[in-house]
Amino acid sequence: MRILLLEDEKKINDMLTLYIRQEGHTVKSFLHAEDALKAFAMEGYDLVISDLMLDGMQGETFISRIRNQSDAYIIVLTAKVGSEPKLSLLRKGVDDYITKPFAIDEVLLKLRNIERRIEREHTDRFTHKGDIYAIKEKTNRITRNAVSVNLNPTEIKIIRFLMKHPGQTLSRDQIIGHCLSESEAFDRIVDTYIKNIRRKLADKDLIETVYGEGYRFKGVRHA
Amino acid sequence: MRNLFDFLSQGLSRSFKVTFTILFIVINVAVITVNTVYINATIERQNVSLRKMVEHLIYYTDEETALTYLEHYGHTHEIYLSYTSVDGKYTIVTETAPSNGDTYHIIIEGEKHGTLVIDNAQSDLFMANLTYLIVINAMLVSLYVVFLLYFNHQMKKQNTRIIKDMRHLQKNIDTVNFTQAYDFEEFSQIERAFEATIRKIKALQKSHRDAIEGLAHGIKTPLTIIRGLVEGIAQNRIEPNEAINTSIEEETQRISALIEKIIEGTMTDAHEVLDMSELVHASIERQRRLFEDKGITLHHDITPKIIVKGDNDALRRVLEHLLQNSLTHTPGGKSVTVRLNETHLEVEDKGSGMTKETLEKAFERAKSSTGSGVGLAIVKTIVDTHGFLIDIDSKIGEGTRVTIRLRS
Repeated sequence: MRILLLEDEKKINDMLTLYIRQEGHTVKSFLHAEDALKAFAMEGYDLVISDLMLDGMQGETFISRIRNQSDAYIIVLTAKVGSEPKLSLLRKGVDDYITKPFAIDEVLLKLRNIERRIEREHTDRFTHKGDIYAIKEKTNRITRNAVSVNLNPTEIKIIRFLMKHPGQTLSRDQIIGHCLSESEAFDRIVDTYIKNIRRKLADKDLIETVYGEGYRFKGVRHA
Repeated sequence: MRNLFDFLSQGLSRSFKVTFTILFIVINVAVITVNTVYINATIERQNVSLRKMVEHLIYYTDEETALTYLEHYGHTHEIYLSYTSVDGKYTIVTETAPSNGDTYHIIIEGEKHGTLVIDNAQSDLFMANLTYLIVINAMLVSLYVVFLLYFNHQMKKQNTRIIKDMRHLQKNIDTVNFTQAYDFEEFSQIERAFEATIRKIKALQKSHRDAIEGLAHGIKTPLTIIRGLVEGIAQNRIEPNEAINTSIEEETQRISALIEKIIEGTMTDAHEVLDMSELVHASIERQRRLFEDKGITLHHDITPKIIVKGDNDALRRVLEHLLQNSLTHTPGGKSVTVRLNETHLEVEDKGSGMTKETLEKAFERAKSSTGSGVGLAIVKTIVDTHGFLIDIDSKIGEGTRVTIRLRS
């Protein structure tokens, strides 16, 4: 995950940066809200972790600015107590808050959960005959009922393309145009890929052959 | 008797009692004086006219007329007189015989006819006064009792009200409002005093709550660092080393300093009226030995009877911190001077002084663990609470002067 950290207390900033990096995330840390905002505008981040009490710009202002330009996850570090400040944070579009003094595990587990949620958001899903298929964007792997199925990248590309047009007959040329490189661009290779997909998924009906026209996807897409 | 008196005077203010007593005495004295003057004047007038009449009788009237007149006069004017003729044929004595009267010889038709004794009536004065006094005092006492009964009745009513208000106050200090008007000024004063007290309590509550919130908030940052480092070590995320130890120690110190500050701040009650001069003297005397032991001369120039409003303990702590700082930073052979006048309290030393940077941060919570910085921060907190102002002048190698301006 790409994480932006804003915390004006240097010791806490250093500590968090270190621990989060150790978990394998990419962290950019800032002591001042202005710098953080500039960096956020330039690069994409999955998650913003921000302290609430900042010198200069108020934490709330910073959060509102981030929320105005992005849907990135926001976790707030707060030393405030009571439900009123928390409610106002949630109202501002903060996804979660961590109360100081926090346990490292609390922070890291929350990051892990957010990472999983981000992954889920970037996963295409469809069902067919009671089976649930999922294609994760990040890993480019397909699972059936959460069990990984070993499809190669081109096969996954083809499924993705078909999936995006459910119930629609797609010609071999269309498939080639969207999914294959020019070097392997001839009709019959599509048939081979489809055959392999059917075999690997052990599902003959998911992709239906429309004689003389092409292929039709019979799975049902869902969020 | 005493109980009766207590009952009669219960609830009456001292000033009322004094006023009534004075009134009582004044009325009595006035009655006696007026009565005496009046009676004396009357008697004098009567005596004068009587004597004139007697002279008249003596020289111009025949026996029968004179005697009839005498008898009539004695009777109508309530004058005690007696008359005895020379031949003993005539004797007239009023109901009350004269006791110490003047004696006149009555001469009728050129011959001495008899002796007339007319009382001056002085002895009556006491009795006449007494009657008046009894009547007037009886009236006064009745008036007093009637007033007392009415007063007690009214007070009972007001008492009931104020007790009700107090009960309400006890139950809910937050929504208290005294809507009832009181007939007695004293009750209104109680009410106003209570309202002021409640405002004060609420302000105090708020400042305590703020202080505690500030403390809670302030503590969380160092606590986060400590927890993070300790957990990091426990979970093998970081290697324990000297820097981490120092960090943890510093943050612990920060927490202690914060707690101390809150306690100093919230415990200060700057409303005692106290003699600052005495307080300064006492502080100097307590620490004199320490200065002598180090070979530092401790001068003082203290104007006596400087009265300030403040918290005795807190101000003593201020002086102790200041003297302690001077003691620490002044080498033997040099001097420390304490000055106090109407407007300023100064502690000046010829010690090592502070650098500009140290001076700028003098009042901040010391990040170092030496404790002296914490002392100055406490001093500032207390000085602030009193509404005083504090200044530090310091030159490295020359010394430091801390000035507290007593009137803000």
